[in-house]
Amino acid sequence: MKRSITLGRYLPGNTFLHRINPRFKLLLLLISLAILFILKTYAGFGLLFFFLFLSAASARVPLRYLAGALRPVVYIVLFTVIIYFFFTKGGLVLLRLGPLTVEQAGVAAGILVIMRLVGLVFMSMLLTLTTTPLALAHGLEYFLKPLGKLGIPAAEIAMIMTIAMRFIPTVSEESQRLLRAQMARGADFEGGFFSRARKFAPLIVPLFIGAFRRADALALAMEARGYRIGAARTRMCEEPVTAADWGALLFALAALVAVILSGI
Amino acid sequence: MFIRTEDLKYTYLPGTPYAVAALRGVNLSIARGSFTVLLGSSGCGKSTLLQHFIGLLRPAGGRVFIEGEPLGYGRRELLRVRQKVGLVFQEPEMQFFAETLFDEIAFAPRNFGLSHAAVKEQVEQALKLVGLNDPALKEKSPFHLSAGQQRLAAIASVLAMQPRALILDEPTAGLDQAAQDKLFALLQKLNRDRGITVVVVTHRLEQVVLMAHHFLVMDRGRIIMEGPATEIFSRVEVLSRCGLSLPPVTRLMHELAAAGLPFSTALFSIEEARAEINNWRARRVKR
Repeated sequence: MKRSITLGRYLPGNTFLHRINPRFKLLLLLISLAILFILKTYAGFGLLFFFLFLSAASARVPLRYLAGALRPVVYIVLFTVIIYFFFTKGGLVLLRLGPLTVEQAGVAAGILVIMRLVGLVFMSMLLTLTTTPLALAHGLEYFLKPLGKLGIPAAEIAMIMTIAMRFIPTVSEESQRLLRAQMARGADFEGGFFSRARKFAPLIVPLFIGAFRRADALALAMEARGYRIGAARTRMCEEPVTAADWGALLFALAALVAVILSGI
Repeated sequence: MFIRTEDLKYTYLPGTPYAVAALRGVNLSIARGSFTVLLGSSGCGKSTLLQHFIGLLRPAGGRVFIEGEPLGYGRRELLRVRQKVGLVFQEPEMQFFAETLFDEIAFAPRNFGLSHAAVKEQVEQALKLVGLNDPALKEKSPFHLSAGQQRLAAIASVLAMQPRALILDEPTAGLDQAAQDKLFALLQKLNRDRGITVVVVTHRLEQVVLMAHHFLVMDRGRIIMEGPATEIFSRVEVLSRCGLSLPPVTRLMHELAAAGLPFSTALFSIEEARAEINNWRARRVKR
């Protein structure tokens, strides 16, 4: 209710990062993730985060968006850190709490994990903030296509993903509307989780009915425009591959090789 | 004054690239027992404004007053205001969830913690008001009613709180002519016989122009004109600038007057127009 903007929602723009072909962006994410998990020194992470912030700045992504993205994972990070701090042993004893000790190796391992988690979140945020869901689905479709030879309907899976993503904001708006409409009739959605769960029928039932109604209408509209499963499809907007795309990919690959060879 | 706003401001998704200023300082007063029509092209902020009246949206600036008291946003205060002022959303039958019509209508009175007997009483009264008091209907699923009946049932579900004001956002959208006429007759009955303050957003001017006391014209998040029909529909250029048109009869009279015929343009019903034209013909024959 507080902020209806979805985390990682596309921020319109026309920067270098926005313009990269979605297929290449997915590859870049993959390579960056590989780098993230190969890095093991603070200097390496420092360099990586420097590049991440540079990319964010160049794409005009406000820092508070990246910081906000950390909020949902904060508990996972805390939990992981506690586990690592207390249960990885080795090196000097830094802190003693009764039978529990925090040792040097645990702290080092914990910090490494934090870096990786934070890097993971930042990287995926950079992708979804600068790529429309539709472009992302097209990119995924490209990589799924070879699976078509194994009898996996890649185009249809991509269509399902595209439709699902297309309707996330619609359904989210609809649920907000329903929430307010039922509140206008005196429904009170405040209170604890359990008292709230009981009150959800007036929200869930109309939401599902609406979703089925929309699905029916959409299926009809698609068929009326000649949609058939398995038919070869072309796209209205082709996403061209440019020299900049190849350049970015080569840069990432070079970075990967450099990280492996230098061992930072 | 029943509802009053003071410099009301609201922005959707503030601080993001998607920010849209929906209300840019709305000042309005709606008199107790009046029938008010809110006009404006789509996207001008009408629905956003209506939701502020019962605290469903919290203004970024300015205040709402209900019966002279500033609207508070505490849980209890909101509940009290929502019982006093009923808001019927667009396509309100989309909110249906109950298994029977009775349970659907009983949702609101039950939320306000009324006794079993009182709930039953208020549901019966609401159904009677909208003309769905056939006992066979009560146990029917609300989803099995006709489109017109569903709309009436949705309005009954708000009336069952026995509000003193009823606010409706495009209540006739998607209904056939007969159902629209029935709905407007209901609104007039509620206003005239029950003294309920009615505020309605609608584009069906030919029906509403004869029953409304007061018109508010909204454009890009502001009230730009208000007054009775005779005043509002004389300012054709302002209306067309906001993408609004005249009621059909009034438009005809404007066109006849523009063609040089000595007609009054402040006429809204077919009967008035007929009398005006017949008068003129009689005068001409005499000469």
